[in-house]
Amino acid sequence: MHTLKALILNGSLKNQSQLEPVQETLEVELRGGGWSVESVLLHELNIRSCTGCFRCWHTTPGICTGINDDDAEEITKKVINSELVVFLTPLTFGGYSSELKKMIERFLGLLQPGTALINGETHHLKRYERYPSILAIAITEKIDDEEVQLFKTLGHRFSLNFFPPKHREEVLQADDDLQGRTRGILAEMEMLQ
Amino acid sequence: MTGALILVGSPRGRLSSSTSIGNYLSKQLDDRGLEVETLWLREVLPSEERTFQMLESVGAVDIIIVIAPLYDDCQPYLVTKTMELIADQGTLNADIRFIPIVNCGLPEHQQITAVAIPIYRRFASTVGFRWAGSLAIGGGEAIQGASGKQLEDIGNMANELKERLGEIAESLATGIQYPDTSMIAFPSFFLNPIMSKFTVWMNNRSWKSQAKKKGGVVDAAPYA
Repeated sequence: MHTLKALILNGSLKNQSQLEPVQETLEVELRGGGWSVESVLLHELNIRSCTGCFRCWHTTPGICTGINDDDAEEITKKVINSELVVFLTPLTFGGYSSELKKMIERFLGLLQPGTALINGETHHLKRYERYPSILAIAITEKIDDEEVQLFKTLGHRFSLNFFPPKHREEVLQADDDLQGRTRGILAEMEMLQ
Repeated sequence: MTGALILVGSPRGRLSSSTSIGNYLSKQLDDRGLEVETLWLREVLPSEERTFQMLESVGAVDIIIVIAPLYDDCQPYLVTKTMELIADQGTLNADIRFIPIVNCGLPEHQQITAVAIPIYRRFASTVGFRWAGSLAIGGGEAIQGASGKQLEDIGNMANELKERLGEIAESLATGIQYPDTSMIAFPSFFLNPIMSKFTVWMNNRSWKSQAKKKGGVVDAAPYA
């Protein structure tokens, strides 16, 4: 029987620990649900930022060869071979942290350069038959409705370009019951069945 | 003298459409008597010393202009990192005016205005900058900055963009608020349904051909 794989990308900045309880709860709950889980604390790895060279589109399609000496390509391989990818991030002006954003930009080769019109908007083509579901969880000190809406819109826009079977975006306040909320989110996404 | 800092946030650095836009805007500001400094974040962030100098410049100028592409529906990493660094400085001089100019290869400017512009706005209000307007440019590939072309090199194609940049320079020089504005960098007839489909077809054919010339298959799935 195929074991479902989950990859947790923790985009905390250095010296931030507020995402740890969320990460730990995700690991425990998903493993309890039969998933194979791997977590990555992005700032501890050697990940360089995309240089926009497009070699992953026109020279070695699907493989980043513009940057050869870092850990990003291994993570990208794991992303496309997972059933669930979790983005954990401190809420940063309504969006992702720099650490998470740096990694997401390296997913470029998972799409084709060509485009299609989808509901009147141009989007890049799929490179793979299937993509992982995406759960994006942001933590903030104080909930701001405008930033929450922005994070959800960002997740929706990302889904238009990344083709996840399911996606969900949640903003949690740091003093919430983070473990309880995280369990609830996974249950609502029907990831624990 | 009013000082303006242009931060070019393209991961491609100097060989980018953001640079072409920045060069043109810098000249427009200079013509109106502003003192302009341009920094490329790709060159700044890898160096602690240059990062420190950039943050000093940020605190010393009257106007900050970020010019960057759209990456994954929002700011490129280089810009997000810079925004975090600026925010770490605490609340800054409230008289600093802030204006982002964002270009996207895809034609629809709502891809920019849905998230990236609001994130810039949240950033500005968080650090205490005064919002001075914004410009969202769809179809940015038409600017051809990646091949080193300047706006003056691409003829009539750049007329509207040059006009908008002139208006921005005038607004910044005179202190008049610039509206949040969207435009497309190529003629609008390309946006009718038939031409849109044709443009997509041509674009896809071009990528396929580029990959083939380099020995690749554009729709390869190496990690499947």
